[in-house]
Amino acid sequence: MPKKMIKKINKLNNVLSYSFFDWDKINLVSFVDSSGNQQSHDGHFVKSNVIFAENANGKSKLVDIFKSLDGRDIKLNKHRDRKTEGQDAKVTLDDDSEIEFSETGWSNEKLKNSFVIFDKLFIHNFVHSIGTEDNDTPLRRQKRGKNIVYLGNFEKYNEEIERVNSLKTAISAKNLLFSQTGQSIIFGLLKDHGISADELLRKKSEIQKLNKDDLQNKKDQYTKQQTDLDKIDKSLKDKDKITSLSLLAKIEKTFTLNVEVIEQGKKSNIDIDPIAQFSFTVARGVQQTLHKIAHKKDFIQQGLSLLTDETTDCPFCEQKIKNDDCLQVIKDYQEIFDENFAKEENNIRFLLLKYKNILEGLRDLQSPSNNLKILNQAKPFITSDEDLPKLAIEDDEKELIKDEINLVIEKDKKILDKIDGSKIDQIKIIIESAKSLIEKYNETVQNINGEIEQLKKDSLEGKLDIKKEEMQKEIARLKNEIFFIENKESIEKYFDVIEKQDKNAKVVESLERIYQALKTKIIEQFSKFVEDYFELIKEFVKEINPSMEILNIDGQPTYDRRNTQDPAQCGFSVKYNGEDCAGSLSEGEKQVIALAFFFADLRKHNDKNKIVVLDDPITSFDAGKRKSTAELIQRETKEFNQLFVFTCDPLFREYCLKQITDQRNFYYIFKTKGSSSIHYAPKNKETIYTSFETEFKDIDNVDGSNENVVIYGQKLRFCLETKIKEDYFGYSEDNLSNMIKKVTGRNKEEFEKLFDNKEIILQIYSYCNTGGLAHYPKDGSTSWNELNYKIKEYLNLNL
Amino acid sequence: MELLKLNEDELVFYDALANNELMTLLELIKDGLKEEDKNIISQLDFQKSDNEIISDTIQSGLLNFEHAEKDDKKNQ
Repeated sequence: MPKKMIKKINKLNNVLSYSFFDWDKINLVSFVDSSGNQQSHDGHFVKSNVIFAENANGKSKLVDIFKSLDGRDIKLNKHRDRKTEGQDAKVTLDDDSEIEFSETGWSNEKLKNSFVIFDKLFIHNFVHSIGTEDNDTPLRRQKRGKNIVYLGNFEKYNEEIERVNSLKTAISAKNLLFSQTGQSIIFGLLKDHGISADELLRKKSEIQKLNKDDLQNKKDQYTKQQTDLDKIDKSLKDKDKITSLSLLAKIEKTFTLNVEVIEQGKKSNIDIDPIAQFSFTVARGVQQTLHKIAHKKDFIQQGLSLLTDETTDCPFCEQKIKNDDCLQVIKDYQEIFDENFAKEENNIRFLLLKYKNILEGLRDLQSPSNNLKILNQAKPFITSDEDLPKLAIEDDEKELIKDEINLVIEKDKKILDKIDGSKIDQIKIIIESAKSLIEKYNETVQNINGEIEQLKKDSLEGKLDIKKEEMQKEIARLKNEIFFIENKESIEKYFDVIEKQDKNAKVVESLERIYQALKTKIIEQFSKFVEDYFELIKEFVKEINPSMEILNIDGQPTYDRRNTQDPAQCGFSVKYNGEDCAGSLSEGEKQVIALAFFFADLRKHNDKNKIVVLDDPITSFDAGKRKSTAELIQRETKEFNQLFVFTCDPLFREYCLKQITDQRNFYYIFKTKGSSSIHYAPKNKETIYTSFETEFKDIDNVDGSNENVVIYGQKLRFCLETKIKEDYFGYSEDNLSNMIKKVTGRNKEEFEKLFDNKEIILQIYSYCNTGGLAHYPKDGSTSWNELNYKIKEYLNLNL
Repeated sequence: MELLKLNEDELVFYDALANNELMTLLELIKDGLKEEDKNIISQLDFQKSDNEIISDTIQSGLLNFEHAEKDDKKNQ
């Protein structure tokens, strides 16, 4: 940063308490140099500047103007009586460049970040004392921990990062309420059903799969399981009855149009073909012959048995067989009555019989008579509620079968007659239907028998209890599932709440991590701060006030001062004359620590191009501390570019003027009702009233403007008050002996002057404060004349 | 706190503290945080009150109190 100094504040118009201030009008000093030449001096700021002002005269407002030049967020308001008027100001730097101020701000930023400033705000911001208080409860004392002085903004950290903590707490509380409200949606339901919210959450995926369409099915299953459970209970009670349970009989009948025959010692299968069997017949002539010889059949067969190829005589008529015709007749008879024909006939009869049996079997098909009884005995115990299927065929089918049987009987009677009218196709359908009925029936029988056998086995092996337990579990599962389906909407709403609650909780967890990270960062920074500053601060405290001791707290710094386990914190403990006093630090003690911190930082500061400003650094100090502070200011700031020390304390002013001698100027700030103004006091007239008295002697040559009424009025008041206080009563001396020396240094006659002129002195003082000057600006010329008169009265007093 | 010239980071840190700028502090610690935490920081405006922040985050979907909010309203 280029080195810059403020040379002068040329003008301040309607800026804070500086309603109108013109540097040159006030501070241009004419003098005769050692060579006797008339010279002028504008009294501009130099490297070190001590500025004295009583309270409320505009001292801190000038500091505010410096802060504004530094770029800090300071609003340079208009004077309250001139709100509608414009503002302007001009500052000249040592290179004669200028910075101007208007309502839009400063014309350039040449002085931005050029200042280091010690003022009340610095103390307020960087020194905080925390300790037990009289009205603390023991618990609160414990929480507050040791008496601590926080330097820097470490105490403020709590408030800042507590924003994160408070947000976390607010979200957490809201989330808890959200969760509770969500739970209340189904709390009653769950309570009535006897299931906890946790259990419900564990079953979330299972519940989500459940479908409303399955409700009836689940209810049926539930009812069935309940019934079965009753049966198990009954089985457990009546074990003897279970032992005596019988098994159902199966139907062994088969209906197939296929019969097994044995021919020549071999088994073979023949299909029953009723159409073919009913069609078995011979030629009509043969039939008639057979009919005629029916009563001689045996005779014919016997005769035929005698016929051979060599036979020459007919066995029936005993005549010679003469021609082939006769032989042919014989052969025909042989064919009719041979063995094959007889076999065929028998075969037809056999098949007809089989067919008849099948038909009769179909007709008479029914369940084994005992099965129903056995089933009824088993039913109270077995879980299967299957009934035996209906087995009988329909009436119209029976009628059809009956007709078919009649056909078979007819055929059997007239074996060589062809019989028509068989309903074999319908019979085949009835057979298939009967087969299916039997199969189904037997399957049911097998199932029921399986269950009866299992029940008997379980009863025998004592497994019924286990079964009962499994069944109870299944009932409970079904009961839950029915409950979940019936209340799925409410439950899903609850799941939604929980999902959102978990998501919100993640934000809370994040905020906690952020909060912890902030705490860690602060502790790191505090450790660094201690490393860099502590020893220096300690030294400066000792130097300003030897009775005071600032101590680092043992242990690692931690952030939370409520942490009673490890009370080390981001602060220091302070002892005064050996007593812990951090909790009850006076403003003066705070100021000592703040100033020590300020000097420590100046020492650490590498950039000596800064302008150091100290605004009333000693307001609460006693004389000893004021002196040591003035010495420190001289020593610690001499390498810096420029220094401004503001004070309202005459004693400290004197110390500063004595200590800071190198390139040093001295100024007063006054304020009237109209405006504050800065007055340069030349070195040879630093008892400024001497300087002002010189000006008063030339009052007749001064322009009687409104501004001068204000300026000279204030000079008069200042001369009167300060001269008497300091010159007569030693007000600016640092101790009583010096004050006594000062008072006794004057002779009695001089004091008598005060007594003799008491009325005039009070009149002039009253005029300056509330009297004639109050006419301004109503009647400027009158005021100036009055003031002129009062000034001359003051000079005549020759105090 | 312009006075404490340590290094660039620390300067920012002290400035942030002097001005009570939590948002700046959060920026300083952000690098060491988990991604999800960084994401949350980026959605929070600590210039606002807790209630306003919660409102904003509900609006953005970061927080959700839907059913409770509705039930709260019903109860009011």
